[in-house]
Amino acid sequence: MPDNWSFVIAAYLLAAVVLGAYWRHLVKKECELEHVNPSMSGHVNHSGTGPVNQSVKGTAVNQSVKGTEPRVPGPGHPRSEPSTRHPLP
Amino acid sequence: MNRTLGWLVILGLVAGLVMGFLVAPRDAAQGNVQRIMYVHVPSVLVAYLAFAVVLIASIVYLTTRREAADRIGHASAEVGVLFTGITIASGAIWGKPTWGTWWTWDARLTSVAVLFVMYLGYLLVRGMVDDRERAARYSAVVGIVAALDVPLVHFSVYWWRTLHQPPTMLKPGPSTMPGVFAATLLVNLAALALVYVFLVMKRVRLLRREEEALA
Repeated sequence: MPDNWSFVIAAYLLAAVVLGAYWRHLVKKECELEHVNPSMSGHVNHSGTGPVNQSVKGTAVNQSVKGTEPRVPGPGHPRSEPSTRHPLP
Repeated sequence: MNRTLGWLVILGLVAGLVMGFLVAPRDAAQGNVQRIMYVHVPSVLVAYLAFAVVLIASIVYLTTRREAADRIGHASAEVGVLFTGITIASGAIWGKPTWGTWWTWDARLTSVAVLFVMYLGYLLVRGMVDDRERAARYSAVVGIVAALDVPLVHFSVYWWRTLHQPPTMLKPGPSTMPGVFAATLLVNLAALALVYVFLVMKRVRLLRREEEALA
């Protein structure tokens, strides 16, 4: 049977390109998040329930709802109103 | 931890390439094209692992409503879809010189294609529903239902008459493969499993930060 090296190289290259592209996508997303909220780089709020970075200026994310409805800590995703949602830039 | 894992991933991938191209001999029947199996087989096994994690995370999320479980399920599904895509593509590339066709509607190939589409659906559900809690709940249900296809994929070669050969790994009884081929497969499996863990950990971190930014 012929060796078909071109097929072998194509399969390995394809796997490398797919995984590499996903890796790049994650790195790009990370950079975008750091750009949106620079003080969060390296900071992780493990509880996921408390308010995050209220002191950061220029990152008005859902500021309008803060103070109107106290967030109750507990399991589950916080439910946000549709009018208060903003897509990431 | 992350940096150490990153170095382990690089080391594993280099070891996998060395084993696949330098240590493992040319296959007597298939020639060098058999080396594609060192990507194809570990990819599908890692995809199985990813979807098993999605199943467990989905059950945990539905019972406890823990956001961490939802994030793990989401990340694992994304990476699992990638590995399923690699499995399908590398299988097609191997099939052309070996079977003479890129694709055939064989039970194994079709069930893997269905698996791929089901987990794409899982990711689509997440993207389509605005409310995060509802998206997590719906996708957890899809994650549980889609996992039913994994045993179907694995046992399809036993249950139906297929062009695809029976599994060489994850089968009962002793291995029929020569040691060097089995060792090469295992090294590549370990390498891709490390890639999976690395990517999922990174994605989970990013999901948490995305949620914090939107909160």
